[in-house]
Amino acid sequence: MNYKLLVDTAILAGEIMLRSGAETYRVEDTIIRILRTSKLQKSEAFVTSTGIIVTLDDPTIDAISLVQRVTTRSTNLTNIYEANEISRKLCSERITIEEAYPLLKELKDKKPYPLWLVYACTVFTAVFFTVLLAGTLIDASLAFLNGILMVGCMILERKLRLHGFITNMLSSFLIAINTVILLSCLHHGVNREIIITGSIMPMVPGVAITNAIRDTLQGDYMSGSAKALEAFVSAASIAAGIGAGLSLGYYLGGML
Amino acid sequence: MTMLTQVLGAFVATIAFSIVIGVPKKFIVNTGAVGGFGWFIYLLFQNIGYGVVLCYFISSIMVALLSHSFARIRKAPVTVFLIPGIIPLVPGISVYRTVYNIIINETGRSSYYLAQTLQIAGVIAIAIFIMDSIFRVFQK
Repeated sequence: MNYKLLVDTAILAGEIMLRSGAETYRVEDTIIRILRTSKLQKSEAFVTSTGIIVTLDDPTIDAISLVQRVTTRSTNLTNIYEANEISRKLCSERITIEEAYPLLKELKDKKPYPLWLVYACTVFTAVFFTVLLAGTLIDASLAFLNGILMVGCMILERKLRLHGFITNMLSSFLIAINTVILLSCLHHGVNREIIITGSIMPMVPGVAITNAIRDTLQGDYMSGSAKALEAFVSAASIAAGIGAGLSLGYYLGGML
Repeated sequence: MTMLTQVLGAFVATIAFSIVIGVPKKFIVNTGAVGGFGWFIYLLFQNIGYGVVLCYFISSIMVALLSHSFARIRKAPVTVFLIPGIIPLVPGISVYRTVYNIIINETGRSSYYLAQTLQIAGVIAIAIFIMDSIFRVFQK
């Protein structure tokens, strides 16, 4: 068996899952399952939310250790699912490592949906969350405008390589100020909280919240608290943006 | 009637959000169902007259239960269903009210809503904890 390729495969699967927003314990579990197919004495994986350390050792071979730093992260549940499927097949010996490695390599840069669809769905998320919160047709159409502003900020983030928190703050600031101004023009000030709350929903750190809870339950307190902090900081940046937008609207003419 | 519109809104909103975070195409309808069902339970218990935090607790339990069931049936990681499904229950409105009351200098009300936000976040976490633990017992 090619142990070097096995470790490479394991670390690649782990990297894909970690980059796509999988829970830390799931990444460790997947890596160790893949390494155990070698039936060697010692297979260990240590994963944090920013890197992976893997060791494979046995009296019959030289120990193999690899470190993989993971810097960029973007949520992509399709890749988590696909990498999980490949490792399942590998562990139940339905495919060999030689087949699995190229499959994972191919998966690494795959995007499940085209960018325009993601942008369109960001807008729709904002619109339908106002419907969920019992907003009217006018609320939904204002949320549509807010969604377009948010997509503008997302495009800006890609172009200028801004930090995610700055984008969140800028988007929620624009959303708040836009809503306040439009509502005062329309003389229709009742559902402001529904419009703003619905519009910020696409930015909510859902992945960080869920992973914080599930990692902590697994006893991985380090990753759990890191994710909890991430969720808190994103929520705080959104709140700060809304606060700034609302108070600016207030000073512009007592629109609150 | 409004309730039906809201539940449909939750269904479509969850699907749209699922595409943003890249849920595989074949699970899109399932995630929408989880989100819509969670919001339906929330509205149902709210109409019966339960308190806000309890409503969030019961609906998060149902969302986690449904996510775990779908994960078993469709052989996929639970997160694929749980992350989009729990999104309608994230207490955005309490956060908004906290900020709004800070801006208009209603300190008392803003701390009330801050406490409510933290309580809701806490019960969602406990609900996910409980369902994870229950399903781990049945796992081989």
